[in-house]
Amino acid sequence: DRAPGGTPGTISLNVQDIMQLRQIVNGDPEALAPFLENMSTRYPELTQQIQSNPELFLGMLLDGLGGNLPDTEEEAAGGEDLDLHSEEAPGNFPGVELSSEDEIAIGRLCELGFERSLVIQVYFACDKNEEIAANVLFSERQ
Amino acid sequence: PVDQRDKSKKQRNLNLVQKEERQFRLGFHQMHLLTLLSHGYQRNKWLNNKKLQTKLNNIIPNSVFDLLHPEKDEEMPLRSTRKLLDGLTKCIKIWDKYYEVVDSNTTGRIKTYGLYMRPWDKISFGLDGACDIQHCRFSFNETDFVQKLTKFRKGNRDLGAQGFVAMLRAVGVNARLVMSLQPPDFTNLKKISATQEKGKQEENSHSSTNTDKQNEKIFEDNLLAFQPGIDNSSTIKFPFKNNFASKMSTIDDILAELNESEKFPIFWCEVWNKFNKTWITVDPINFKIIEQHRFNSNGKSKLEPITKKQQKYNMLRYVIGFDRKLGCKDITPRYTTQFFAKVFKKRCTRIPELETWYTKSIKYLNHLAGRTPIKIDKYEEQYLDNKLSLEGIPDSLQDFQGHPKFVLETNIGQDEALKPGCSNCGFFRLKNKNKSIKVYLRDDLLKLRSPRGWFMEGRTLKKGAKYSKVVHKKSFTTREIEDERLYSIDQTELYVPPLASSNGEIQTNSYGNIDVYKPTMIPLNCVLIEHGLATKAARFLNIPFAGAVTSFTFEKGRTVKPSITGIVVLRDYKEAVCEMIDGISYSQEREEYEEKQ
Repeated sequence: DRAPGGTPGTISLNVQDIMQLRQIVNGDPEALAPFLENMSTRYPELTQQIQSNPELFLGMLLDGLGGNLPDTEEEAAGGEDLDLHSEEAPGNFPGVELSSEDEIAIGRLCELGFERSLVIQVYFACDKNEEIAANVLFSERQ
Repeated sequence: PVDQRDKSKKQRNLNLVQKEERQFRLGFHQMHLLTLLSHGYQRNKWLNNKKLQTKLNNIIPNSVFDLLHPEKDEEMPLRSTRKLLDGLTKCIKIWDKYYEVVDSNTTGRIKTYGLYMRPWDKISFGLDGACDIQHCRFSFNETDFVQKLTKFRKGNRDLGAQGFVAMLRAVGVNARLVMSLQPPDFTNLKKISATQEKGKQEENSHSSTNTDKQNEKIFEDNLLAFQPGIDNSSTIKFPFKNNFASKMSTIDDILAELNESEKFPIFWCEVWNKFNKTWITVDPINFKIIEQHRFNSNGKSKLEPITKKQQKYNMLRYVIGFDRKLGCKDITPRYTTQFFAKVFKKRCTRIPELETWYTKSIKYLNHLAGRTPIKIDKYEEQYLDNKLSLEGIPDSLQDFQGHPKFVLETNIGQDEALKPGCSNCGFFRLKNKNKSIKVYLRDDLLKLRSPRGWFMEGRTLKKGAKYSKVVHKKSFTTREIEDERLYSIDQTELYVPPLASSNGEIQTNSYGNIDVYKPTMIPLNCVLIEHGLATKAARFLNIPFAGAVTSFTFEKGRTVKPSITGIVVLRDYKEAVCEMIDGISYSQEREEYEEKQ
């Protein structure tokens, strides 16, 4: 596909926007329309990318959504009286433990020329999906 | 009179958006569609939460449990179905007592569009002109979801329907979460300013200078409130349209209309009835009804908004069933009676490429869920195909426009012809006129092209081919009216280009190029190398080649330019040319680099 603008086969959203969009898809779908309008002005090439690669976009939104991020199920399940509107910012990863598999994947991503702290954040934000993480990292750099 | 008609047409066009905005709307529609799909997928996944299931399991008494799982009545399977339906009716009542629907009006929260369809001028604002992004400050995760359904036991209708499905799944019923996706209508091409001006006029009769100021205040507050994300140093800027004024006065009108649309649910439930192999519809919240869908009937569902008012904010176009194995499926035809005549045209899938795009997306979600086809899917497919096949000839002229199944004899295009020997499948009677028009199946239409047109498709006329039609056409070069003969595909055959000679001479057209519109147009012993440097490389190597015309570009002033995007050479030369291209581009890069230094 000869997609004008942007590298073909990528979705150029930054980590922050992906996290935000995931959160909205998860819990506040009413805000989808305004948020998407906002995004489509900030990323003029986004629609085109979604048109040529819907799977990647869906993957970014859903793959392991809410699975491995702190602030979800596992950790929160303990506290019954969790404040419904706790405003814990996504992206803080306090004391994340890395398995050897994670280490290897993170190593590989670092070899692509990214800073380790950024790689770890993105890697977990993409729910340990190395491919999507790489994609996000590359589009970040542009 | 002709002038006037032209004028009114122009006037109408002035109120329609331009190409760029159309593309934006279609793209936005698609983007919104995917995110809504993701939302449904995610919610459906949450329904299977163990803690939720355990808690909801307790609210169904044994007597109802037995009704939901009847034995197969060998004598009269209908009796088993009856029991299941009784059980479901009881479940609706149980759920009604268990879960309290709270309307956003009564909770002090600003009334919003919810998941109903937004008009194009209300994408970034709510109905009161305030920016809705403020809501997304809160994160709402699976734990919150479970708590809302088990501890607080109240919320909006959408959540209510979701909880109902979870309850049925908790007691082992094969229940689906059904969602009607409502992205904005991309077929609505009206300009925003036109509707806004109308709003302004109405507004002038009220006084609203104060509200403007208030709105701006709200707007600023919202901006401050919304600074999401990991890194607060990069604040997101909102390109808000500076235009809230028009929105204030008509809130009451919008609310009244929204109420009409909101009578119909966004989420509901389907239950598999194994006794007659169909899905039963259960709407536990809005209409509180159960619907059975019979095979071999194009039955009407109560859940489809029909009137203009009802459809204003709720246009049933994409109904997706999310099952307990996390699979999903488009089941729209179950809820429509005029799928082809009305609904099809409002779906982006009416564009063939987007049909592929849409199926790809749905397929991906099933892949993500690890869901493979099961027997039930086949029964459902049969049902849906059958229901679609029962849809008859449209009853209004307008509905024939773009109808994928039927075509009026009078609407057959210049470049179309009926298959020889086919007959009409019905008549359409014009109102107030004692006349009727023949109706044909679109499948019986043949696409016609000129010999040149067929060549662009990589085909050439058979010997002794007979034309189907002669049309009058303005010649491109002489601008004079000429006759043009059109042929159908069965009068053509695949064009096989002559082989290149052993020393690489390629037969070219009168301009010295070779036409390669389709891969089959490359001579068998040759290859096409598409690269900007290909010509240079071949010249350098001093080998015979031909420039390849792969398409045409149309430019202003009606000039057509062939675009030569590469070359055709003997297969044997392929490697040499590619190496040479690499070499040239390397040395070019080097030169550029050195120049910069």
